[in-house]
Amino acid sequence: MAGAPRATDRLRRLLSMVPFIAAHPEGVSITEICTRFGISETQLLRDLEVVMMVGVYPYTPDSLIEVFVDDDTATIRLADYFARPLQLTPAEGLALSAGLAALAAVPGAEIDGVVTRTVEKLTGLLGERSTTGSHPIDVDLGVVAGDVFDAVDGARRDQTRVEIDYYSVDSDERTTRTIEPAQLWNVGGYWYVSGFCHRAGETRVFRLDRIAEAHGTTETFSRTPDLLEEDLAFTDPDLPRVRLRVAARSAWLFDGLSVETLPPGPDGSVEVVLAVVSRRWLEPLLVQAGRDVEILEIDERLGTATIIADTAARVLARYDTA
Amino acid sequence: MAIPRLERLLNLTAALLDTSVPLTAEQIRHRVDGYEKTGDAFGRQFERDKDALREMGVPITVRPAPETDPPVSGYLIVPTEYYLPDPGFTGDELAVLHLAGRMVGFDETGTSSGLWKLGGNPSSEGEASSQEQDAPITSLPGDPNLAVVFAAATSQGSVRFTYHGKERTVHRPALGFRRGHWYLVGWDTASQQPRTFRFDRIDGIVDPVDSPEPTATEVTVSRSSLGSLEPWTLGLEPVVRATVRFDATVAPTVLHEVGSSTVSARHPDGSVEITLDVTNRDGFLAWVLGHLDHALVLAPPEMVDLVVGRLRTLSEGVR
Repeated sequence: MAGAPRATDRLRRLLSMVPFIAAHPEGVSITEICTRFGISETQLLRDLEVVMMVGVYPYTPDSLIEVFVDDDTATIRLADYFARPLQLTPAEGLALSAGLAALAAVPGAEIDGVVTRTVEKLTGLLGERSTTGSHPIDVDLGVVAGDVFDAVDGARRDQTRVEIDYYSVDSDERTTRTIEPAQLWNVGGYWYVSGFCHRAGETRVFRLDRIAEAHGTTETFSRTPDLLEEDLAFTDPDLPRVRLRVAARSAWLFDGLSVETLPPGPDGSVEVVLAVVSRRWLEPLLVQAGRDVEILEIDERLGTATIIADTAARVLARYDTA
Repeated sequence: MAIPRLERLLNLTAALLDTSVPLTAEQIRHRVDGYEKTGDAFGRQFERDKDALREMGVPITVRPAPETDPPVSGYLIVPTEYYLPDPGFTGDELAVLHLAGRMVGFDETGTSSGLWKLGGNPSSEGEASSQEQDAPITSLPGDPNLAVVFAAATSQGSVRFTYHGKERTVHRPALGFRRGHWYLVGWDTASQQPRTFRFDRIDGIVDPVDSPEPTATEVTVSRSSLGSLEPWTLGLEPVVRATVRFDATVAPTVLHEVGSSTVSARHPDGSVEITLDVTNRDGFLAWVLGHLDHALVLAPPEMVDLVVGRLRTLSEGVR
């Protein structure tokens, strides 16, 4: 952190730290205080030096907070007015409740009901529950079959290979592949796993809701360097690009997909640039946006400016023959 | 040597907590260590300090000081408004809170300071618990209006905001996160029924408003309203029961999304027919079209006509 911490930031932490230390009459280890409150030993000692000058009128020794620091322990006495921390602010309550709701949506996070118990206690701190007894905040991280998640996550933790039955959008077919799962994450309401794919011969990213079945094996593998989201294929400069203008009301379809950030036009329309691995990934987006999208530029490897009309005609053919 | 501002802020907080009667500004000036006893600086110092404390959530109450005539403003902190009751979190519950904190991609300050109030991080930084290290990664996005709606959600309150150009007042809101977006669900006074709103389509700021006593019908707004956030249900059109056939390549994925209870027929080639209650035609259309030639709308005729009509328009367009 650049520069000295501000007085208000130090105050915010001290209003929680002083009650914690004072609640242990025999003292708390310096190491434990530093770990719990994310503070260096130097900063802690500086803060405690300030605390020992704090008190109430008339600031005689018997009305100042008592702070003792020896080799490895800090003790605080005579701080009754700081006996408990400040109430949670709505912003703090929101952050913690949202985090717990997200955790509750991760398959396997609930062990012996610990997440539910924690949510109950936190909700009790935040004020009255709604009359229906339901929670004020609910997070859904996306659909995934519990057994698929367990098999893939289990394989990731154990570093064993897993066999998946996967629908690939690019090739538009369902195939069986053996992968070595490395990293598991969630974004935009979908779960993704990255890992070495034996069929492709390289590291790939898979969306868990496209896995119909997953079966663990006993074959172990050694973990390759973790693949970060940012390394993924869609930032590859060699990938074919398409440049679109999208009307405001359909802009949400392209949320988070553009590899360039451009300011919206005066009518609220947005220009997006997509890096596309295959045409079949692009087609649904274009058809869904329909007349709200205009193709400004398209790489010839992806198609021509008539791509929307061509795709629509192909889908229409199913209805004509049905 | 001037007393550091941190010390003065701590002294002020201590004085306001310790007193049982409101203290006037003059009393604070002379009884709280750290303020200029003479000169003009005190007024500015005191105002800045009060603002800083209030911004942190410290509740400073203003009341007439006793034995003043005419009445002079006095300041104190009411203990029940300040102190956080001990929630009694066990070690494993604190660990869960810490793990939960890592799932939040917005408001790092609020997450940290909230955790400090609850006892801080119980595990050593050097050896993060194996659960934390191995945890799947997710990072919830934020929205400027989340906090005010959350406050209303936990206090049985109401909110007012502008949505698609119209002003709406919603009672007893609740928050939902689906498919990467935040939604507000609550009793919409304009339409007199539960409605769902997307946060990123709210124009400007959400304001808290006074809330009347909940009526019996309002109270039935529960989590089940939050549950169905599928695009074809986000509307108030008369219900239409639609049947769609999906081929074998996409059927498993679709069934994960809508649940197998919607299946009305299964075919030997692996394709399935599902039946859905649609109250938002545009949402239904977008969802079906997203599956391109793997989806075929079978019934009712008006829905088939809708899809065919849209496809025909697009296939004739020249761009």
